[in-house]
Amino acid sequence: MTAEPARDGPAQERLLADMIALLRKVTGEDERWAAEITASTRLERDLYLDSLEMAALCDLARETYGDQVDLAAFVSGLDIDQIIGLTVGELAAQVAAAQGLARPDRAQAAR
Amino acid sequence: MSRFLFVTLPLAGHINPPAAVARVLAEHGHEVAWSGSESRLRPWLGPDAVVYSTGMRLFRGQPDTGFTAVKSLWESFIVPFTRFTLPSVEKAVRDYRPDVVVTDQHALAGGLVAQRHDLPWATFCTSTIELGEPFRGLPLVDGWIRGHVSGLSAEAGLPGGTDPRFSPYLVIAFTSAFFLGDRLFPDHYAMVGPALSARPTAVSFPWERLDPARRHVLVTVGTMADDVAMDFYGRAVQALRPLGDRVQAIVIAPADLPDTPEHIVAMARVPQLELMPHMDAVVCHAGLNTVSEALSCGVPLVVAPHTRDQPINGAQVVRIGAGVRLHFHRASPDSLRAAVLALLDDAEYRAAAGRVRDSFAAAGGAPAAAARLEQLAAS
Repeated sequence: MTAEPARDGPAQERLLADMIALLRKVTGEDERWAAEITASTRLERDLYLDSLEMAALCDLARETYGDQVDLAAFVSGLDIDQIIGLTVGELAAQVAAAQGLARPDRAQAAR
Repeated sequence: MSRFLFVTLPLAGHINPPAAVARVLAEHGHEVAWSGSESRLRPWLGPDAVVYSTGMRLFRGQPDTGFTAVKSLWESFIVPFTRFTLPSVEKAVRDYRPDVVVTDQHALAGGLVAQRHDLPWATFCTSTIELGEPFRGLPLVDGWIRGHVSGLSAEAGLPGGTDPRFSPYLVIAFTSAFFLGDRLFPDHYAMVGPALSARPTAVSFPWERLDPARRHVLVTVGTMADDVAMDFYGRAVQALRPLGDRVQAIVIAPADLPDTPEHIVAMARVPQLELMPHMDAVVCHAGLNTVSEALSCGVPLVVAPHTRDQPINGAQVVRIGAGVRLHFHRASPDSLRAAVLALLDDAEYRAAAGRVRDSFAAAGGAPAAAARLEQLAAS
């Protein structure tokens, strides 16, 4: 069920696909739902992700990538408009940054 | 004998508890006056109540969820409502000269005017949103709300004043400490349980249609934007459709539900409080009123929280074991059916709901709230 990381794609795309797989896990949704998700999909307004699912996503990301990926700490530094507008791509960028792959440009620009 | 001024919000769930408490105070010989929307208050309080009208400011049932809803609650309602009502609450205090101001937690003008006049005041928590501290881990969101509050305090001539959401004298919450997870609260917090009272206008119900041979399920999402509610009700009806041999359902729907089978009664209004003792399960949005009414009767719940304090209430129901939580927007008919059947088949849910019922009964309700207010007035 979980999407296999695409080994041949660029690292960012692989991390985005992985993040979508994590979202499927915490919501229990199907592939059709996941197929609609892009980097610019917003967690709250487009996916209706609620606070419990967000907490589960942070836990799952830490389990998957290790303690250096702390999405809860990232979210705790956001203001209300940034949380409302938070996208799947920004979370994937946080994972990339934590793994030393790239700077989380989108998230930084939003600050 | 003392004089109490109740400052209210024009929302049914926020009028019901103070109305029940005011009734007890009046029975004890105290005087009570009201500040709020006269058109909203009058049906609850009757022709003889003293009402200092603030006029009406609408806050429609909104489709927003999550932080979008938090933002609109403050920017579109609490802040403009406070500015709009401040002069009329001020006038009410000057004219009525209360001994104590009793104010809804989100009717900030009450706490601000009481501070201006150096009067003792009490906060009524008619929702769990502030007690649940949902933004404890989000300092910028918390700070954004505090910014709104301190800005309004400064506008009211009280720079650096006490946060008008939390009286330093008395905070009364209409739930039990057990329901909120037995957290420790300061001594001036009184968790009195729900203060339930019947709706002001009698609503009839076809009681003869209740079949004692079947189990009964109530489905309601309270006052919510119609399209959002109808989408949920549609899925609930699909969920319950195959269960006609053992279940009768009452769906409180704002509009006609097409093609409902015999065992599903859809009505726009029902006498919810009177119906509750007959229910075996409730499917709802986890609004505090419906959750409290169900748990007061020991009825377990399927909770599908939509907005504001509903996720907090839903999480408590699940933690206590008194129900099953589903996602409001994503719950499928199959998952809704499975959740309802779990509540009907597993007695543990009902036993857990009974423990909340007992905690509510022990908390004392409206008489306990009235006693704390009397103590404050006498101190």
